[in-house]
Amino acid sequence: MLSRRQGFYVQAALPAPALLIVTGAIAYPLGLELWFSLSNAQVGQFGNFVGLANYAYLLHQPTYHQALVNTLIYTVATITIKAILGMAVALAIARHFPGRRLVYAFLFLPFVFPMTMGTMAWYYLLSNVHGALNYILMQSKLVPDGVNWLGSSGPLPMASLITVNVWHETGLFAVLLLAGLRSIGSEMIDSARLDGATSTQLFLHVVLPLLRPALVLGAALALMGSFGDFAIVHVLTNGGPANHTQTIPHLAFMVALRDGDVGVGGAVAISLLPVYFLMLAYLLRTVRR
Amino acid sequence: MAIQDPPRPSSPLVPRRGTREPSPRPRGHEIGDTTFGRWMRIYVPVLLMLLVALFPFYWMLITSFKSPSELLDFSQSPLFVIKPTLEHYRHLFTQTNFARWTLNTAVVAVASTLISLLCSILAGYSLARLRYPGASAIGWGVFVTYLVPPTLLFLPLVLLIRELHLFNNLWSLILTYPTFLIPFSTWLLIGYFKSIPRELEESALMDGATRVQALLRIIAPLAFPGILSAAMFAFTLSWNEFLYSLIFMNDTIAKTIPVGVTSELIRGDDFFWGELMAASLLGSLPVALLYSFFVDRFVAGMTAGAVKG
Repeated sequence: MLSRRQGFYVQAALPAPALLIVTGAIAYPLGLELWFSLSNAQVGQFGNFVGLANYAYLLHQPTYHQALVNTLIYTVATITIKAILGMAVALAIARHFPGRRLVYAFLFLPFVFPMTMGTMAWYYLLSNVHGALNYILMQSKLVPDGVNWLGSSGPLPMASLITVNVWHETGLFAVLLLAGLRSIGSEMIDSARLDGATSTQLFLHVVLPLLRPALVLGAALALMGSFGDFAIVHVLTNGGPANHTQTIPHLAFMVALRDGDVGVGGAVAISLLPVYFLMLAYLLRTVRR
Repeated sequence: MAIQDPPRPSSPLVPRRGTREPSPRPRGHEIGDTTFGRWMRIYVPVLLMLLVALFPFYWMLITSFKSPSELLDFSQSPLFVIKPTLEHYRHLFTQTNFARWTLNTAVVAVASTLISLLCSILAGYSLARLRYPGASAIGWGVFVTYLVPPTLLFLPLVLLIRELHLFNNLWSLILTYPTFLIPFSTWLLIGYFKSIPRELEESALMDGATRVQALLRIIAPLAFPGILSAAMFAFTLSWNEFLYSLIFMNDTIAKTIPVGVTSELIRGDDFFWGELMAASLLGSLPVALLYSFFVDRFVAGMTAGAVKG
């Protein structure tokens, strides 16, 4: 019986290291960052309490407003496009055809490929100095002078960021949706077909509702990836030109570590966390029911 | 007390998710399929998708083989390489610290993966199996923690690493990567552990095995596919990590591949595209190889939560 009693303590102790680290990974940074956002801390200091001064300061900063809008556009656009394209990929490769496994592996490759390296390749692809995309556009006489993808002041730099993000992460949605599709089973599809359902009806009323868990998980993971993206913005545009593609995580990095103003940088990072958690809670609530 | 060998199932007991019953019709043809319909619905979209997904890789490959003069020759099409050369690959190893960055990345990725796995297996098992108050709340908390973007919480870690004097030290990464690896792999493993029938270990416990023995000898072998998935994801995430490494590693010889490549192969406005693309390909080779051998594990790991929700 001794082993049973020992067993209880062992059971209780098993999650200890992970819980310690998880608590450390969330409570310590959240708490300290909250403090930073309420202080005048510089790099390497704790700083003094200044109340909500940093947040008040941000309210009047056009750069911050721009980063807010950009983060929202970037997040919503990438998630929507990835969900639609991922669905298209999943539907296309759900059926048997020769070479399917290879296609499957290739389509998922951008997702495991290091984001920084993939973005570097895109930077060169989009370059207006001998970049492939401009070369193709100019050769085909579609756009005789080429397009300034990353440096113009219009919507093109943001569109480029979204493109790279979509290229990188569509595979995730595709794989999740494909797993969902396969779990539906052919009998249900066949019986709906035999009952006279059209393809559209079949998709909207049979397939889509069953794919909801997969869509929600994909959206939650994509929300984290897009909302928290730093690498693509940093490598592709560095927030430029003139903050046109600045996002919240990248702005927090720039303000806190480039300018050394940890207090304001902390406020930038913390300010959007409630919104993030609300979006996340909304998503996850739909799957729990 | 001597313990009987645990019963070894002859067939895997973990139900294989994502497999579909073979259809009685010819391979893959659904009711109402025509050849034209298959082309429009499968082959054309798939070829287009492949083109977009793979073109950047083609671009990296040809750029890495171009000679410097070819890279600067604007009269020639950039889409092909005329005289391939390995010059840039040689440069990486003779003129830059690429070999050292690779070593750093490998050490950090292996160490942080091992630490994270050890913690996650224990925690995942405990949260999936044992009935104690709050287990499901903790499991939920682990998932939410995993979903908090690390890019929003790096400032406190900067202070911590500064206090510990770990700047430019690989330990700074080995200690911080588990903060996002553990929540993820624990969440993934909880799902796997839950899919293993309880009766298996209960009979072992009846026979006098302790929990730890049950975990090591019955559960761990059965959950091995899940553990492999978690290991590969953790390894890939650490290998590819950018922000923490960018902040903590400033010395040339302390950098990891993503940071070294994007900082040292660009001088001001000079991009050394040949070396950059060669390094991007070589630097992701371990991840790509791992992926090509175990693509099913990757996918199974990613989709573990997708079907059941």
